[in-house]
Formats: sequence, C-alpha cells, structure tokens
Amino acid sequence: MKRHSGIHSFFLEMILVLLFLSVSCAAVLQLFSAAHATARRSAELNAAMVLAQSAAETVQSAETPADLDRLFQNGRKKQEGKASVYTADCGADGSPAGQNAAYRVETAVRTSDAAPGVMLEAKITVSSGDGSSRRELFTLNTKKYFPG
Amino acid sequence: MTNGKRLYPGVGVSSILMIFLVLCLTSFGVLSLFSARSDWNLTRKNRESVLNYYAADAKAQQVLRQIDAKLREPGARAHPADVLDGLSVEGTKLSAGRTKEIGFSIPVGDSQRLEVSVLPEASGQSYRITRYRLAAAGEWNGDDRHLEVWQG
Amino acid sequence: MNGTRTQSVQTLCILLIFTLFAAASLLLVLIGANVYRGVSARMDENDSIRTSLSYVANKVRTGDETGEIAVEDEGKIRSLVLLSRYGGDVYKTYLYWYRGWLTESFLAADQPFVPGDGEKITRLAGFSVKQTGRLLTVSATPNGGKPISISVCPRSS
Repeated sequence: MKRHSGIHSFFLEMILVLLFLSVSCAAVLQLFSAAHATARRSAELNAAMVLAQSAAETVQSAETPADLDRLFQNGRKKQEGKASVYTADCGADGSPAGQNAAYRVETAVRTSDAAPGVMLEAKITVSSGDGSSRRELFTLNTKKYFPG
Repeated sequence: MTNGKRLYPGVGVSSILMIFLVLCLTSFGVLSLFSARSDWNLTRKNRESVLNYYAADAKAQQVLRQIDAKLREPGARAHPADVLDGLSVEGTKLSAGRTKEIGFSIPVGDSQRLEVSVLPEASGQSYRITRYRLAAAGEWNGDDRHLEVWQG
Repeated sequence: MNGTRTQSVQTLCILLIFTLFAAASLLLVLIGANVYRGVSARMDENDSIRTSLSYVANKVRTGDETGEIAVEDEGKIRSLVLLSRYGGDVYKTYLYWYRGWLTESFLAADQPFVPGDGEKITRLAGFSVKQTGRLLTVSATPNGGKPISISVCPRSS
C-alpha cells in the first residue's frame, strides 16, 4: 500500500510539476521573444542609419546637382513630380542586392531656386521587407546649397 | 512489508529539478531582455544624435545661402567684416574677424555645436568652406560628478 | 511473480518518465542559453559596428577643416589621418586597423608612427578606408560578420 501511495504521489507530483513548468515556459518564452524582437529592431535601425547616412553623404559629395545621376548610378531613377527618386535595394551590409533585398534606400531629391544659388533637398528613407510588408525604418533629411 | 530500497526517485526530486529549470530559464530570459533593451536605448540615442547633426547641417546650408547672397552685394567680398560681422541670419549670429573668415555656429543637440567658417573668394564662387566641424558646446568639468576616492 | 513484474514495470515507467523530464529540462536550459547567446552576439555585432563606424564618422566630422583629413599609407597600414592644432602645435590622429583591433594613435606631427603604440578601440575582423573624390568610405567587418560601410563627405574644401 505504501509503495502504491509512493508511486501515486510521484505521478501526482509529476503532473503538478509539468503543469507549473508549462505555465512558466509560456511566460519565459514571451521574455525570449521580446528580447529577440528588440535585438532585431535594434540591428535593423543601426543598419538603416548607416545606409541613410551614406546616402546623405553621397548627396553632399555632389559638386553640382547634375552629379547625382552619376553618384546614384547603381540604383533606379524615377520622377515623382518635381523630385527625382533614386532607389537602391541592398543587403544588410549595404552591398547591392536584387530580389529579397534586406533593405531599400530611397533618396528623393528636389532642387529649388535659392537665389543666388541652388538649394538641393534630399529625403532619404530606408525601409525593410518587400512588397506589402515594407516597413519604414529610418528617415533622414539633408540639404546642400550650391553657390551661384 | 516495505522494501528498504526504493528504485524510483522520491517525492520532491522532480520539484527541485523544476525549480532549478524555471530559475535558469527565467534568468536567461530576463538577461536577454535587459541586454536587448539597453542595446536598443543606445541605438535610439545614436539615432537622436544623427538626426540632430543633419538638422544642424541643413540649417548651416541655409545660413550659407544667406552669406552667399550678402557676399554678392557690392563691396562685400573686399570687406566682409563690415557687411557681415554681427549680422543675424536664420536666427544665427555671424562673426567676421581680421582674418576675413566668416564664422557661425549652430547647436547640435544639447552638448555639441556645428562650427562653420567660410572664406570669401575674390573670383569664382563667393566663398570657400574652411571649417565645418562638430565641437563640444562647452568645456567639460567634472565638478558635478564626485568620485569617492579612498583618502588613505 | 506477477506482482514483482508489475512492480518492475511500474518502476521502469517511473524512471523513464523521470529521465524524459530530466532530458527535456536539459534541452530547455540549452535552448534558453542558445537564445541568450544569439541575442548577445547580435548586440556585440551592433556594438562593434556602432562603435567603429559611428566613431570614425564622428571623428571626421569633428576634424572637418581644410587640409586636415587625409588617407595615408604608413608601410602596410592604411590609416585615416586627422590633423589638429593645440597651442600652436600640430598633432595627428591616426585611425587604423592593427592585429584585429580598430586602433587610434594620437601623436605630435613630428613623431614617428608606430602602429603598436596606439590605443585599441574595438575588436574588428577588418577595417579599411577609401577615398573617392571627396567621399570617404569607411568599412568595418565585425567578427563573424560581413563588411559594412559608411560614407562621410567632409564639407570643407
């Protein structure tokens, strides 16, 4: 009898332990997934900032507004109203990538008459994902004045 | 008729193992979350810093435009100090000294500033940028940060 | 006899269950440790990139004056050299990669450059600086990662 009750108590304990463990694991799993999501968000923002700054500095390196076509020749160009938009798809390391690129860098450039010279305004947007799941990660605005 | 020997784990061993397991997993989970959070905070600070720099950079370009316009006025390039010293453009005060350089500074966040200097040119473009650097807004002093040092 | 067999089977079942529980617990702990290691590794990579690229970019921005930024080759080491002036004296700050570390060396302009004397900033698998026209491109390779580049354009001319 004692032996049976010993076995029964073991099984009972196991059941309770497994129950408690499963509840704890559910909670701990939330911690891990939150940590993983935060770490990924941080890595994405870091990469986006690096890409955006590189694009902004490329704009700043232009000697004239016409230089931009040459400086952004690796990307695609399209006109959106008065702005020229240069789009480049790149991997996490910034190297050009085709489909399934990790990031997309869009540099929208607009020149305006700022007598006596010309003011170039650029809005750089870095987004991740593709198609409908595209998320904007970081946006940077920069200006460059070209004396007349 | 009880057996002296018990071949199966007694009551309590599983519980102890479970407690240990939950403690381990919770520690790992909390450590991961705190590490990731502190990394995210640092990344956010970096983002603020970058945005502040480019905002100041854009403002500096607007000031340069105004300087360019002023330097094209008759006699301005020969005597820039007379025309520009003390002038306020885009909310920024210009200074022009004996070296003919025109300087101004724009705050970048709370602790830095962007110092820009341009030198008027006699021909071609009206100026050349000689300085465009990020500098600390003030001298650091540690008076407000006490360090408990053992006095012996 | 039957009773003994039944008892043995029960004991075996219990031991099996307990062993399974112990194995599953160990697996869970290992998974948890692995996830923590993954998060830490990503943080370290973030950190080395942020430290190296942002640090160098900010160094260039703080030294942006006419003629004070250059890319120089000292023997086999290519470094970013920033000039600065304090109290009438000229100093050079060298930023370069040496023996697995991004290293910084601050010397008077007339002192010889000794790569080993610099201060270690952060551990990197690789680091390089390239100048194309006015654009400086700084590349850093974190340990176990791919090279990441940032461009900086000094505004002074």
